[in-house]
Amino acid sequence: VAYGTAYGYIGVSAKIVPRLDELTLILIYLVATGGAMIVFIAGLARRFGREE
Amino acid sequence: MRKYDNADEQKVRSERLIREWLRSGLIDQTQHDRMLPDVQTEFRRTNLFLRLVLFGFGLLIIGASTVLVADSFSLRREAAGAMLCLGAAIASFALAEYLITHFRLYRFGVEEAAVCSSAVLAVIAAGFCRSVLQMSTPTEFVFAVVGAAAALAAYLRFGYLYAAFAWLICAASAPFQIWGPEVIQRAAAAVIMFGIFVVYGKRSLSSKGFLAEEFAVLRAAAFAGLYAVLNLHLPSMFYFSGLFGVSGASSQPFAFYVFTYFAIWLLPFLGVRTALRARQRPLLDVSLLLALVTLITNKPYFGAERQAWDPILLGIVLIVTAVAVRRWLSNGRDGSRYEFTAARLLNADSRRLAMVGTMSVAMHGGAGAPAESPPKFEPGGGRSGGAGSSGSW
Repeated sequence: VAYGTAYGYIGVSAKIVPRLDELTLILIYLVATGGAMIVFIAGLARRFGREE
Repeated sequence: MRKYDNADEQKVRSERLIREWLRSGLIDQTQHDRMLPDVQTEFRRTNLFLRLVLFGFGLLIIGASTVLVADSFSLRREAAGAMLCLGAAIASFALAEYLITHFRLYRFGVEEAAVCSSAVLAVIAAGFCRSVLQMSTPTEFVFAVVGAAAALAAYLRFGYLYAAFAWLICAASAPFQIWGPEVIQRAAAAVIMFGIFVVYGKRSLSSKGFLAEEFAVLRAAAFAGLYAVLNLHLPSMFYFSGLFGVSGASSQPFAFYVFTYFAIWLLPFLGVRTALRARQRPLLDVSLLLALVTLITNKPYFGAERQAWDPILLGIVLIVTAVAVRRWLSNGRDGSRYEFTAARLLNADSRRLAMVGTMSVAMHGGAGAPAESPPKFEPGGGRSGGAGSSGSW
């Protein structure tokens, strides 16, 4: 799950970020999607990411 | 002082131990189920992999937010940069406090990212302040001192051991960043490490439970730091030679050179002796590792050339020593001597050994790599599968 989310995010971002021509847009993209990813992964962690 | 209650932290450690005992067959499932409710906490935790991913995204957001503010308000001057970094450091620290208080996060990644970002931003702010104030102090020294203070604050408040390791590294490297003879620099770093070793040695013996274990780890780390600053040939073993301003063994006074040679032989011996008396596994492990490093760096101390058979000899010495110690322990009453046994009690030990084995293979991965193959035939008529359609005519 961890690898899937991280590599998925990096793969999609590698396609999207080069199309954003302004630094501000790139930073807004990183903050917004990073926040969404944290919420998503926190939800996953609650389901089946218990500490072993 | 600490954000987490000591009783809760103790419960977390106890829960891990109970699970480890079950995996190792020391208790059965019924005992496990009976014990586990007593050590439950309200903390929200996760496994290592998700923790690392959350940590990465946390760093990404905080870093991008800080740069976004700088970009939006066109902050170009150093004074503005200092204020921004300082503000971001305080905000990150407050964010970590908020996340832990309201969401009860414990080693969840996000709050750790906020704490680490706070420390790094404080260091960057200090660098900007040095430039603004036009201080003559070297930048690296400011970084090391502020980094040590920030890492220590993070450890004392949140109990992150890696923050304590960062504190030790910054504290040990600080003397190397100021002008002066290297002998003085090494002596100053050694005094700092020895001081920490003594302080945490006393605290580890006077504390109980998880705090005693934690202080024992810090004591062992300080001992390793003490050894590292005294072994003149240690930096030359690694690619990061000179990273912390350490120049190596060249141009050292002869008396100091001889002193450090005796010190690197004496320290592991004293470490093993102290660890056996205090029953402290971290110090024992570190001391044995340092003894190994002493064996490896012994030859460079005499300026002797390394030979291809050196690792073979070292391996044979280690095998013979391990077999002898194991047999000696096993031949004692009930397979133990002085309450030490060679039998593996916990599964975690075998996992740790497997990890060390994997790391050793990874470190020498290049040795078994096949020789470079001769250049293959490269047809000029286009890429494979394209029927030559991509070739240039």
